Amino acid sequence: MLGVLVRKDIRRWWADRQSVIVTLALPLLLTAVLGVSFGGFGDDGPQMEAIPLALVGDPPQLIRDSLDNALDQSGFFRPVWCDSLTADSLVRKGEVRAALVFPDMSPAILFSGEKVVFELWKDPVSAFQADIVQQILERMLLEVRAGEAVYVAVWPEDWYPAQGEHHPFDMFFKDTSLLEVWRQVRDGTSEAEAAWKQMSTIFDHQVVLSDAFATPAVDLVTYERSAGEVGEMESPQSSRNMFDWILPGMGIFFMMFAAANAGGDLHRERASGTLRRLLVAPLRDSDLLLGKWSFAAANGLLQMMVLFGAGKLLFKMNLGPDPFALALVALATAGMLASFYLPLALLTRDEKQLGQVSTGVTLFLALIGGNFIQPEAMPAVLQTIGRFTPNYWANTAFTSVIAYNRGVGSVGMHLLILMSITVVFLGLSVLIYKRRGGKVGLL
Amino acid sequence: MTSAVIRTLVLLHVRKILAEKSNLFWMFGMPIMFTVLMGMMFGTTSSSGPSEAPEVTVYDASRSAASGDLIASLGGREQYRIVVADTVGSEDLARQLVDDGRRTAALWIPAAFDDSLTAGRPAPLRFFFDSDRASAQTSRTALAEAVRRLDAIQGGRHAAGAGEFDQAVFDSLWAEPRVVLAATTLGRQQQEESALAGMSSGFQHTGPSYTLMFVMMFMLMSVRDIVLERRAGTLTRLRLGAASSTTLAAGLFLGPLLVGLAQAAVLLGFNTLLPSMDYGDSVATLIVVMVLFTGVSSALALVAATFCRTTGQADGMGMTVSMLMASLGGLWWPLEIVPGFMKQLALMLPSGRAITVFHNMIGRGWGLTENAPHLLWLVGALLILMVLARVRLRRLIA
Repeated sequence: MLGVLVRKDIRRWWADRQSVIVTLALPLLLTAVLGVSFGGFGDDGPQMEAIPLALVGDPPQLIRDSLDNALDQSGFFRPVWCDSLTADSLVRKGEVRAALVFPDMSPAILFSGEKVVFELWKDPVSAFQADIVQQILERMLLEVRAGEAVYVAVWPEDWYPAQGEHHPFDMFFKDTSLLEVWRQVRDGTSEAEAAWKQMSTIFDHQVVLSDAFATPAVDLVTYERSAGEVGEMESPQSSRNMFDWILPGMGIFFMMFAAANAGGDLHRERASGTLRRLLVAPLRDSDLLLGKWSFAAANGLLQMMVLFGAGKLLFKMNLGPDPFALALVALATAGMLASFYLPLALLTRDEKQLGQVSTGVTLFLALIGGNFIQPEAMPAVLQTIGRFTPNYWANTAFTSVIAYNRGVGSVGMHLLILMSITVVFLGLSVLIYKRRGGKVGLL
Repeated sequence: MTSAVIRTLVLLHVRKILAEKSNLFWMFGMPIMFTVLMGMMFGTTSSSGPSEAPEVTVYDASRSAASGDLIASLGGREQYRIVVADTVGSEDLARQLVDDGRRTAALWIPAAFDDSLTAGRPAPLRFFFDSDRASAQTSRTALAEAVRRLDAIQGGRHAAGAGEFDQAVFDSLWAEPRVVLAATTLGRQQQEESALAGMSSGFQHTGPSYTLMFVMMFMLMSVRDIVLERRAGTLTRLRLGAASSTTLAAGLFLGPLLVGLAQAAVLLGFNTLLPSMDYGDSVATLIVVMVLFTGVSSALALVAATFCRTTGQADGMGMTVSMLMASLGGLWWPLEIVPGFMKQLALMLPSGRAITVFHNMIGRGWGLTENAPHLLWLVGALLILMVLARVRLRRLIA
C-alpha cells in the first residue's frame, strides 16, 4: 500500500511544473552557476582569474626579468609594467588589484644603509586578491629581513658607515657602468683596492652565513586538516576543488526547499479533493503519514542524485572514497528533512501559509546551520547555536565525505543523529495528527 | 481617467501588500536577518576575523625559554588567540583537535625542542591547521615568521662561531627592518577624512547586496498577483473601461516600484546602523541607483507576469530568476573571486550593475559621473523592459 501511495505522489509531483522547477530545474541551474564560478570544468576549464598586478619603477634588469618570469610561471598573476600615474589610475578604477612600486634599487642606495621602502597600492574594492598580493610580498621580504638582521648582528663593522663617514663603496657607485667599476679595480687605486677588499669580505661572510643556514634550526612540519583514518598526514586528503566545499551545503539547502514543497502536497491534495478520497480508503493512519514521508524522502533523494550526478560529470566533483558513505548520508538526510517539514505541513492552514513559514524556517536554518558558510568559519556563538539545527549534521556529514574524502566511519555519529531527528519528528507528526483528530482533522 | 486608473492600481497594490502581515517579515525581517548574520560570518574581510577569535592551542612539552620565546612571538594577533594548554598533551591530541574541527590550529612543541636547539640539531615542531579557515592561515604565517626568526638567530650564532652574535642588534633590525613593504589602500581614505579604507567589512557587501536581492525577490515573487488578476479578468475589465495598455503597464509598474522603494529605504537606513557601514558621499548616486534598480526589477516582474499562465509557473519563475540574478550578479559572493567571463556576465545583469555601483560608492567614493556607464545601462534596461511590457500587455489584454 505504501508503495502505491508513493508512486501516486511521484506522478502528481511530475505533473506539477512548479514542483519540478523547485526540485530539479532551479537546483540544477544554480549548481551550474556555482560550478562555473568555483569548480571550473576540471583541470582544463576556466579557473579563477589571475590577479592583475601593476608594477612600477625601474629595478635592475636582472630583478625585472626574474620577477616577470616568476609571476608568469606562477599563473596567479597578470603583471603589467607602467608608470606611477597609470598605476594609480588602474588601481583606483579596479582594473588591477594592486600596484607594486619599486624603490630606487641602485647599489648606491642598497649599500648606503638607508631605508628601502616598497610601496603597495591596493584596490579599495578588492576584499581578497589585494591582500593575497600583500601576503606574498611580505613573505618574500621576510627572507631579506632575516638575512640582514643576522648579518649586522654578526659583522656590524661590515655594514653601513656612520652618518657623514666616508664609505669605501662610494667610488664604485659614481658610475653606473659595471665596466667602469672594473676598470677602476684593475687600475688599482688605493680607494679601489679598499673597496674591493671590503666587497670580498662581505661576499665571504655571505658564504659563511649561507653555510650556517644550510641546516635549518627548526624542523617545522605542518599538517593540514585531513582524513583522520587514512593517516596520510604528509599528503592532505581534503579537496582543493571549491565546488566540493560549496555544493554539499547548497545541495542540502535545495533539498530543504524540496522537502517543504513535498510536505505541501498534503495541502494540494486537500485543495484538489483527492485527500478526501484517500481518507475514505482503507488506510491505516500510519500509512498516510508514512506515505507522505516516503514521498518527500524519495523526492529529496532524486534531487540529490541529479545534483551530485551533474556535479560529478560536469565539474569533477568528488563523491567520497567509497560508494556507501555518500549513499548513507544522502539517505539519512533525505529521511530527516522529509520528517522535519511534516509537522509544519500538519500545523499550517494551507499551502501558502506553509510556504511562508517553511521558507522562513529554511533560510534561518540554512544561515545558522552552515549551508552558506562552513560552520567552523562562523563566530563561536553561531557555531554553538548551529549545532542544534538538524541541517548542521547533514552539512558536516556531506562535507566530511565529499570535501575531506572520508569514509563511513567518520560519519557514524552524524548518521545516528540524523536518524534520531527523523524518529523524533515522525513521532511529533503522529502526535499532531492524533491531536487534530486523525483523518477527520486533516479535512 | 489615465491618472485615476494608475493611482487605483498603485493603491490596490500597496493595500494588498499591507493586508498581509507576513509580507512585512519578507520585506524587512528576512533581509535584516540575512544582512546581519552573513555580515557577521564574513567578518571583516581583510584584516580581522569574526568577533571572537578562534583558539590556537599550544602543547608545550619543552617548557623552555626558547619555546616560551617562540610562543610569545605568535601572540598579539586579532585573528586568533593563543592558548597554552596546562597539560603537556601529545602530538596525536593536537592533530585530533584540528581534525575534529574543535581548533582552528594546534602547535605541538616536543620535550626535545630546547635540547635540539642547543645541540645544533633541527628542533622538532609540529603544527596542525585547518587550511580552510582564515584564522588558521594567519596563525600558520605567524608561526612561519617566528620559526624564520629562530632559524636566523641560530644560524647567526653558528656563523659567528667564536665571535659575538649581538642579539640586541638583531632584535632591533628584526623589529624595524630596513627593507619594508608599505601597503596603502587607495580610494576614499586617500581622498578625504573617512573611517573606511575600501571594502574592509563584511557588512559593506552584505548590506547592499541583500537589500538588492530581497527588493528584487519580493517583486518577482509578486508576479503571481498579476497572473491572478489576469486570470480573474480584472485587467481585461479595466481595458474595456478604456484604460490603454500603456496606462495598465504604468499602473502595474508603479505600484511595486513604490513598495520596493519603501522597502529599500528602510533596509538601507537600517544598514547604516551596522559597523563600518556607509554609502559614500554621493546621496544622489544612492538614490538614482536604487530608483533605477527597483524600476528595472518592477519592469522585469511585469514582463515575466505576461509570460506566465498559472500562479505555479509564476512562483517557480520568480524564485528561479531572483536566485540566478543574485548569484550571477555577485550578490552572494564578491565578483573578484569568479572567472573573468563570469564578471562580464554579471555586468549584463541589473544586479551586477547595481552592486558594482554600491562597491564603487563605498570603496572608491565614486559619484554619479564615475558610475555613469552603469547607471545608463540600468536606464536602457528599464526602457527596453517597459516597452516589452506594454507590447505584451496589449497582446494579452485585448
